[in-house]
Amino acid sequence: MFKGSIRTSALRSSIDALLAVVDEARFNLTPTGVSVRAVDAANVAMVSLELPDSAFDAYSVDKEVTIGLDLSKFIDLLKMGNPDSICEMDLQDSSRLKIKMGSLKYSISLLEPSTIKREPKIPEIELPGEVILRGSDFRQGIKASEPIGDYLVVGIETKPKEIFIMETEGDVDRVTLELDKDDLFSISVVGEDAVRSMFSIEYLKEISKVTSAADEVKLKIGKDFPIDISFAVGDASVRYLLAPRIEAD
Amino acid sequence: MSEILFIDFAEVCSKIEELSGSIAITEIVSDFFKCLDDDELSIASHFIMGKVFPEWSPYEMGVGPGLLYEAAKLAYTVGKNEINDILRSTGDIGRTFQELSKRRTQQTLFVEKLTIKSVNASFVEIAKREGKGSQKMKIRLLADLFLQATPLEARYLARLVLEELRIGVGEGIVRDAIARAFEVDVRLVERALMITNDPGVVATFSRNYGNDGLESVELYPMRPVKMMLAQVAEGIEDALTQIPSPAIEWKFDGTRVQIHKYDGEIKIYSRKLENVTKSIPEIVAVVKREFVADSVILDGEVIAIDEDGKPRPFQDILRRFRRKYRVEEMQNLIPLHLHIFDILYLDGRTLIDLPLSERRQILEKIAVSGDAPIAEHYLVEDVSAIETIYNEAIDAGHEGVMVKNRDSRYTPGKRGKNWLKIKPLMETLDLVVVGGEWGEGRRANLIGSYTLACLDPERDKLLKIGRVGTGLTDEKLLEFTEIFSDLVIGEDGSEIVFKPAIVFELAYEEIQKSTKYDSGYALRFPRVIRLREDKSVEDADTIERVERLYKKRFE
Repeated sequence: MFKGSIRTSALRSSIDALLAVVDEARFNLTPTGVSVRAVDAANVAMVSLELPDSAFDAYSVDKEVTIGLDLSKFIDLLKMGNPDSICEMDLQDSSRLKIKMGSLKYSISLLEPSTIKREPKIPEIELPGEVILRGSDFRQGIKASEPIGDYLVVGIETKPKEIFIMETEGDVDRVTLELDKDDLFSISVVGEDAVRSMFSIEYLKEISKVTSAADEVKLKIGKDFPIDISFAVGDASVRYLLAPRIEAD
Repeated sequence: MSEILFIDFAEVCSKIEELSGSIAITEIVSDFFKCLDDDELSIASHFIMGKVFPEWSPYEMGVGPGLLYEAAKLAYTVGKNEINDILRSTGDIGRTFQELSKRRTQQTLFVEKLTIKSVNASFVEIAKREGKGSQKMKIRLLADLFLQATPLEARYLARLVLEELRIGVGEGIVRDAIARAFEVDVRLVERALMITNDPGVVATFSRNYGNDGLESVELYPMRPVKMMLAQVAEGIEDALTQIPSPAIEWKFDGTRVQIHKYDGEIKIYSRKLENVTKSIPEIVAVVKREFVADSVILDGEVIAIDEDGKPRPFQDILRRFRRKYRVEEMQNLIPLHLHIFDILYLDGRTLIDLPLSERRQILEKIAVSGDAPIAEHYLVEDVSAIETIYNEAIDAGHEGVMVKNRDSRYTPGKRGKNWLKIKPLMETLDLVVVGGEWGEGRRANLIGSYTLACLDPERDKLLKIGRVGTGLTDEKLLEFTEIFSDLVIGEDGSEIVFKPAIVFELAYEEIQKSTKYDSGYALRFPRVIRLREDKSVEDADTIERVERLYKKRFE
């Protein structure tokens, strides 16, 4: 059904990306690559992962198939292998996956895909603001906010000039991270108005741990709208959508 | 039929809460049942009584108010203080969640409506989380559920999670609603409910197979069934007027057990229907040795005897029942004895519809020898003979006697008039602890007094009857404070509201009429005798018994 080899570290970072949002997921194995789309139980955060065949050293799928994986179990097992090793996967039927990393051989049972929460449709939204920044900068903004409060505002000021801001206000303290054009790969807003939305740090914390390894992270921001966070690691691409918090009244 | 949403259930609950007449409530419940498919029906029929799972289910939510508040903090990003403020103004955990949900700020990417089935599936997920790290997962899963709930849904979801729905729908209304919805005989519904302990099964059975189906409902060995309970008689004469030709047995000072045997395997359940088989191997051995049956369900009492042949305190038996490791050590320290007095099922045949006298004969027939642990059973009809038996039982250190109707069926879970217990005069009441108050001065960090309530099983209500603060040492107060801290569902100044879960045995001087409490009665000089760990809320004394004891004063 499916055979593939990929560097263990590359597979690990892909699984980590999913784990920021869900514990189990459906993997669609198609002739052109692997894709995953999952949403957390509360419908607050969504992740999609595209792992094209080019991300693999070897890849073959003779028949399209969907498998279910317990991600926490899978990552624990991947951690057993040398990160620089090649992880060879062999799927004979949709209930068991054989994995070989160096001299380690696993045969793991898979989840019945129908028992996993349905794949979400990606909501179509237009987000006027766009920023590309270093993964480490995004991580820093969130780490700085964690001790201060539960929410984080992400936005772009337009006047007098375009500045990207991350800001958290606690009961008594406040922290702001400001980056202008010179600190960023790019910044733009459609229209003249500033954009800003507020998010739960709980979710952003998990996501930023994953993006911290990325050279470039693209954020799309609206006014009280979900944030779209995407990045690429090698040939793999990951995208998150996170619903905002909106203050009542 | 389209899937029933949880909001439909919440709206039914809110409609019922506005009503007080049981006929009107029955109608609403019955109409609601009619709209459901079989799976929804089996879920809704216990949800509506405020039970997350049917009683025989291996699952338990394991969620108390503490965990629920943690979930609220996560779902609604609020602090404990804000929750407490709302709790103080609404006075109810359901309304508190409704308000929190209204104030909530976290949006979702898309709206996915909760259905009865999806809520049930989440409950199973939550119940399945056990062991290390499970608390955190339970909180996360609960929070996810509340994030999807509308304010009205959140109100009933919170109460349901705590099994504190209290909209006034008890077993009686569910029974009548099933009969009305599916046009079946209410007596057959009642029998099937007693046997299966599962309104969902009975409701779907009623719809799909009608009266014939209900008649064919049988007990299954290895699936525990509620125990038949006894009412208190106020003396031997009183008992004889109610049951003129009784069978008399000792009322042992021990604890009830239900013993199941199937395919050579034995399982023993406690009064609360917990599996205690592993803790009491000598009882398992006795049953294996002394009774011949391929499959059987027996009812009896286990007692612990000290060196001079007197029953040991109840606490000692509990120590045995709770023991999970190094059981042998405990077995030598506190040996247990069995007294079987009833049989409910034998080799494929349900016996509960037979009269007691016939069941007794069958029980005696399966005994291997004269040594079989069958309780003595006396067929006497005069006061003096019963008095002699009573005195022997008391001299032996036991509680008194049971007066049973020889012609009566075994009615699981019912506290009927066919079994009466006679105990020494000092009447005590088993009451549910529903509230408390923080102490003052030296006892400021302790819950210094407790509010007590009796049951109104008809209306599924708890009626307050008094407050107790004396009879408790500081040590006990500390112990109780720890127990009750996990049960707080409301606070108003120094007043605390508890999730009803604990039963106290109370002694008192007398019962008085009172307008202070909603039961209409109050206890004069109450004092706590002990915490009845073997009793659950449903086993507490009823308003009917309180009334009877009150009237007795004037006779």
